[in-house]
Amino acid sequence: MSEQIRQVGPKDYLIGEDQIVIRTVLHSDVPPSEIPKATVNILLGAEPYFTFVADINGKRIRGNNYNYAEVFDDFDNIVDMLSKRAKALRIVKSSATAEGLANEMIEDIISLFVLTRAMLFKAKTRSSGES
Amino acid sequence: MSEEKESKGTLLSEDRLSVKTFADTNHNTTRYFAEIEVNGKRITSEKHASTDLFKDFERTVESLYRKAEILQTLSSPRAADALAEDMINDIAELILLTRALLDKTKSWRLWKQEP
Repeated sequence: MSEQIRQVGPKDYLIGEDQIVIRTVLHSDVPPSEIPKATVNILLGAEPYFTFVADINGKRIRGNNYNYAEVFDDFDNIVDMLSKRAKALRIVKSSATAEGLANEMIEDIISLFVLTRAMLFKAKTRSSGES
Repeated sequence: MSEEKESKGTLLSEDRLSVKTFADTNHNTTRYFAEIEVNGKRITSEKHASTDLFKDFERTVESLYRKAEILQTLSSPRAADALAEDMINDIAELILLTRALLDKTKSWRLWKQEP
């Protein structure tokens, strides 16, 4: 991806403008930095989980709960779903259905964003636990 | 990442993403690109020919998945940060490609004179 800002030309038409704010939240009974060591809590059922609130073009959505231990599995599932929706988008029969499907795909993509933040958090707390 | 306390849970991050998707009609084939801003950092995407949109979408999804596989094994915070930033660029690219696929689908329906 180019780092350079390209000038928008006279025959460039704006076809979509997405303004998105995503807040990723961790719910845990122990301090975040202690989670990698807190296996007993996790075994007792107090597993930490991630959730999120997103404003997508002024519409607020609240995300699913993603269990700490399963963020990659959830990522995998959403990638599958997104691919299926993209395939469906190519063959839908009406513009309204296409619009609805595209909006669902944007919500899938936001979930991937949140799960990326969750995996980053896990990577960083894992490494701080090792040091 | 900041760790501000909210009423429920701990706020790990607050991200602002802006994706303005354009269709460039200067050529025989429409090409799509986007002005992307992630947390104040602006970049311009590559251009995607309308004929390649689905292939580019699949390629970006596969690339993102491979990076996620790597991210879950990394133990260096700096490497994890860099990889996550790269993944977020892929994610912004997927928003552009979704909007472009939608535009292409709707244009096709218009051409077919959908009632």
